[in-house]
Amino acid sequence: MIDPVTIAQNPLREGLDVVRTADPAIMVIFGASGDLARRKLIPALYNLACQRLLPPGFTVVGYARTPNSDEGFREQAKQGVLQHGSVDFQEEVWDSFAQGLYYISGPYDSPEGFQKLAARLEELNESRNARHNRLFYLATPPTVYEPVTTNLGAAGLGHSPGNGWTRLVIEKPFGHDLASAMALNDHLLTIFDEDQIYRIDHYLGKETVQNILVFRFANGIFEPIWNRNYVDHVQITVAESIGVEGRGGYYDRSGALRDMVQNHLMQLVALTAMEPPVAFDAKAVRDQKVNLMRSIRPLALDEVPRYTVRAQYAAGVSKGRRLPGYVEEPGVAPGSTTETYVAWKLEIENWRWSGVPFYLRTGKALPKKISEVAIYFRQAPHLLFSSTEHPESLVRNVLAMRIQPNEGISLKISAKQPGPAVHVQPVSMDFHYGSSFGRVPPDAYERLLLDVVLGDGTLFTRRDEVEVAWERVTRVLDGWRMQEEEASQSGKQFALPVYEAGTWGPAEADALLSTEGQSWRRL
Amino acid sequence: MSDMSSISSLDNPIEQVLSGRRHAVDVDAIEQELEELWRNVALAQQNGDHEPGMAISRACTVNLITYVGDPNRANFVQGVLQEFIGIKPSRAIVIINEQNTNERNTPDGAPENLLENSPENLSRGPRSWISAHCRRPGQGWPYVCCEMITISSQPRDLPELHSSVVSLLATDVPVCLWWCAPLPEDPGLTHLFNRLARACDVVIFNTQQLRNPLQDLRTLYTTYVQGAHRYVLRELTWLALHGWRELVARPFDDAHHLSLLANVDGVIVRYVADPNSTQRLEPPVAPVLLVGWLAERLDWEVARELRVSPHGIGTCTFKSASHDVVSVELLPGALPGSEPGTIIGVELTARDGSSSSSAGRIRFDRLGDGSWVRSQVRVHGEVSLERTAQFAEMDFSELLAQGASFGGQDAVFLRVLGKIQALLA
Repeated sequence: MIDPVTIAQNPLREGLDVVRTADPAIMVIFGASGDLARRKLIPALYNLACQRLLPPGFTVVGYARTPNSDEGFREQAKQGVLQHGSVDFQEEVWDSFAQGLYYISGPYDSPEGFQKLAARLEELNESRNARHNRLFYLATPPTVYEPVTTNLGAAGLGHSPGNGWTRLVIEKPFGHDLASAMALNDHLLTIFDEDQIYRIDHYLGKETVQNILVFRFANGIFEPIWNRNYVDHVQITVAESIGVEGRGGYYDRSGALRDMVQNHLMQLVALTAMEPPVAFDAKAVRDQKVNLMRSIRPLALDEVPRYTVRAQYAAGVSKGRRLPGYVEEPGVAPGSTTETYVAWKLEIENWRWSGVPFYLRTGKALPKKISEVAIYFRQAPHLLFSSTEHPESLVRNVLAMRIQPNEGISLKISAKQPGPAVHVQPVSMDFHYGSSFGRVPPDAYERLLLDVVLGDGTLFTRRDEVEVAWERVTRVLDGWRMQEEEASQSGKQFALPVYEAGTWGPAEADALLSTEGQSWRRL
Repeated sequence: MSDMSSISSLDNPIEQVLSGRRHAVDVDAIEQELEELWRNVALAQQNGDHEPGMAISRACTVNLITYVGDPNRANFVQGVLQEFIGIKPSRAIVIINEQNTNERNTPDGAPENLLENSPENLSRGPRSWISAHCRRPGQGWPYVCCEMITISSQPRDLPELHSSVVSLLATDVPVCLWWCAPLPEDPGLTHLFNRLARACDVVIFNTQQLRNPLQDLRTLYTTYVQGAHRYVLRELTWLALHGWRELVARPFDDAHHLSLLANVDGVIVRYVADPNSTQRLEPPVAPVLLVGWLAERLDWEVARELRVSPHGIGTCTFKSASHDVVSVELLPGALPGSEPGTIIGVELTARDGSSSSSAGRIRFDRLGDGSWVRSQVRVHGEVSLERTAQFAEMDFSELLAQGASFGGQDAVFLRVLGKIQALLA
């Protein structure tokens, strides 16, 4: 990064925002011929370059098994930008950006390709003045994380010489259970230091997720009531309307718990419930997130069926589209018990949240794509209007933080209907991002890529964070496995609950809340 | 008034709001009519009297009062404000001075003879209209709707119009005044300006679009900087320079280039000349402000004031902090599709600290249609930085939104005004 002292000395800077400017660097994308690179990474880099947020001479080296040339890679990247970019395409700027794109084809599991890569990086470091700053982005299937990083280490690419830096970005899934996550961490730490590793969860790059922290800690009125004294329960929903959409092979080995809960939902729980950090920096924020995750009560194996619900979607219609049942999707094993829906009553054992359930739900083939955190406050202590004609209309106050779509915040309150009688009606006070800022928030990948280049790890997950999340999730997986084994031992076929595609999940998920006098928020 | 249709008489309030149609209302009843409008919309939404996906929310983050001195510019201003409230949801109150009306720029729905100097109109008091303007920030988002109130008045009624305007301000949100006119000189307008400005947090001018822009810039300095006012002053041409200032400042964040700044000995600013100008050739405000900014930030003193050749080339010289001469040229040029005054390119040259030979050349040139810019820094003949990036100049409504944003006084701008005062002396 450009020395802040130099920026402070630049007399032309007074009165101008100090835009965070990154050091020159070379970014190597492993899996460069894949979808993530084409749809997300290259368009995000191009957008950053257009906004002058990348340093001049920023270089991208694509690495994949597919044979290709520099020119071929540039053309493929250009198509990605044309199809998925969010700024107007301009040939001259593209030419300037594309001059910094290179490609190397090679295997992930043998050292030869990496020696070739090391030589190319050395050459580019000189010609593009990259000051030995390197960023390795693993946009590959997780099965090759280990060989790629092993070979990077063997080729001497784990650390930069001199004052240069080397950083590694890893996409989810980061392991498939606690043991594999720990093994992967142990392996990575034989090659890199923890502060070189950026575990990406694109949810954290969303403006509205970051806004949870701003909302909580920049406003004096919420924090005093953000606790067990005032909050009845919390509901967190991350719903998708699509099915597995051709990813049946991958999804069948993963499932909703691993794919969504271990990362996205756990992050939302942490940001919603954590204590105030001492500063808005990587260490302070991540320390508090880890503390919160450690406070999540681990489930005993025999508790798992009472606290969680899993289910699979059957054929149905979602958003006007007929969806096949999950087990009819290509790549899904016959008789698969992989869950496409999870609901979890999660308890946090600390002074702030003791006794306040956090109900999580996520699933595929639900009626709509929506993500939100809803805080249900306790009823008023004395119901002055309970004898009115419709006491059920005295709703609890609900504060909903919508992450997508219609990003914003709403507060449900009770109000008197106009008229001589006292009729109370719930009304909603709404804040929409679009109403106040007149524009839609930017793409999450742009923010996160820029943060990596700048060396800001605040919005990335740390080793201990990943492991404690996996620890809690693995207990659920073990509980489910035990449930299936018990069914098998008693000679029964384990029956996974099902829900019709296009509905809000199985009846068992409704029962999880209704037994406690609650119901899922109607979305 | 008898010729005014009440909002309540409209068939479908949601369609009415989304159409943006204007309705004439009594000046004294504006607030009630607006309340009725939104009450009808709320009822229609409750009753489901709308197509799916036509949900509406009313929003206001700022009050923007706009005074339009020339009624022939009313349509332009209305267009800008419609864009503005899409960026910054607001209650817009537009005051149109009906003097010297010679065109029928009648707002939609207004009586046709409204802005004519007919005896009938001359005898009337101020007339007003309300309208809603809605926009969807993105696909699937609800419509965000704002109100626009237009008040058209004969000059004689203007001095006291402030009382009506102030009573229409939405509560507890900032108030901005965009004075879309030359700085007031006659007592009536000065009274209106002062009373409106007293209710405002921010006052916005745009000297570039006035008849004597450089003169107005100087007047701004003498009336504002040397006066004592509590509001924040914003000038749109200066705000529009933000992109150029950022661009020019950026290479010097690098220690390799920072030392060149102290040795700058030449500045060339190329700008779009006005091909239709029949007035005395004079550089527009933007390049002058840019030079004033460099001079202020680099501590240059004016050695020779700005002069303009018959070909429109402006020249002046400064004395740098180290008492060396800095020569400045303002060169007229062309960039298809761009407004006169738009900056096309900037070039700085820096001498070697120990000799008179050139040590550095820093160039910024707009490319193609002007939406991209190439930056290049050469140190001792070698290219040490080169890149092409997007250069999105803000349009008028974006500039206005920038002007109406929170923030304190722009101290750099006020000092630049002082520097320009000396440059134009």
